[in-house]
Amino acid sequence: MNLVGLWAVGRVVGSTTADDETLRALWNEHAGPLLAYAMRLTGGDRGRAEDVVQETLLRTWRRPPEADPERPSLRPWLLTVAHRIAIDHHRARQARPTEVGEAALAGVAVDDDVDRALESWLVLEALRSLSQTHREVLLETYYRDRSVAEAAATLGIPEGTVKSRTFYALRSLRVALEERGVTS
Amino acid sequence: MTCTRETSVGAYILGILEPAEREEMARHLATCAICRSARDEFAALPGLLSRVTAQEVETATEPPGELAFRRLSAAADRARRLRRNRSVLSAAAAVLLVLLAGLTVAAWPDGSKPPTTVSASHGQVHARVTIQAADTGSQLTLQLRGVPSGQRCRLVVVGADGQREVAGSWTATYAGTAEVKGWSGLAPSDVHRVVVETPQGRDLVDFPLS
Repeated sequence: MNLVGLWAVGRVVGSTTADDETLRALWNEHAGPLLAYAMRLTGGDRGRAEDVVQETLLRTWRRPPEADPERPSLRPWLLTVAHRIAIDHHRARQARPTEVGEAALAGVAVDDDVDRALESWLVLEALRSLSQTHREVLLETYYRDRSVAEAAATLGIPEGTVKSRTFYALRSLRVALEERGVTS
Repeated sequence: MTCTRETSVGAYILGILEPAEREEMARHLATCAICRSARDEFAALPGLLSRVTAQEVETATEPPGELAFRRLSAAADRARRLRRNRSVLSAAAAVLLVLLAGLTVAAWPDGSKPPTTVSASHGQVHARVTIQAADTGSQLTLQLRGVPSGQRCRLVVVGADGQREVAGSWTATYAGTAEVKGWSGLAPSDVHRVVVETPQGRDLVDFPLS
């Protein structure tokens, strides 16, 4: 092998560790909210949504977007790429005669408003950043619509604790949202 | 300054207090600036929480497992190997081409025509086609990548007089790659062009041969 070839191999091997770290960081930070978003796009099909997540992150890792000082966050990019991939997959299924019926059922839900999708994403991120107990109390009270007494029974804690935990959970949530630029 | 009731404001905002306590809190808010300030602080939160579902919160909190990450990592490895192979290939390409030219001549000493391999690119689409003499014409082997997944494609052979013959058709996979074999009644020496096109006749990639 000539010198240029050796140099090329050396360069690629040398960058392997950094590449792995990039991939892991992408995964840790975005896989969760991205999966939730992808499931909206696939009509709740988790298998297909995981395919979308994998391809979105792989594509981003292979060809990261150019740094844009106006939009320092990677999230709008990920949303757009995931959206495009979900549509590609959807079309690919439609192109296969055997799956036409199924494709018609589970269409790609098109979220026209990227800003709105982004806000949902940030809410998920903020909730994810809360402590387990804070998230749990909000799941019980807000999302499962339980009263203070019911939540206390489910969580096995006194009613007073449900109230104070809800208070501190909301306070942490507000801070977490503010950190992400969500203020309204 | 604090108020002992302040920590009930969260439950009040989420509407989970019993009716009697809720009314009491509403009256208290009219007179307590501390609790009013907490209420205003939280006012936008129920609206924001309503943007996502409980299931989405759970999905986002418990992301795809380690197995899914390994799947991604393996896909990244494949991409990396491909990239590495390509850079090695391009670096050594000039040397190899010279060597291959010599080998090709040496490998078919009996005078029968060797297979012809041609590469071509058009935008994102990269392809390589090998044409080889077969009993009743030619056999074509096409390797293709960069085609939008799900795209219907066909392989068309064009003769010297402009006659066209579809040698094969297929649908690109998710990865946009395909390896396709096709046959044509034309002898390799009569094949003027090979084209990969959509059913609507749009060229995806074009291999001029003569």
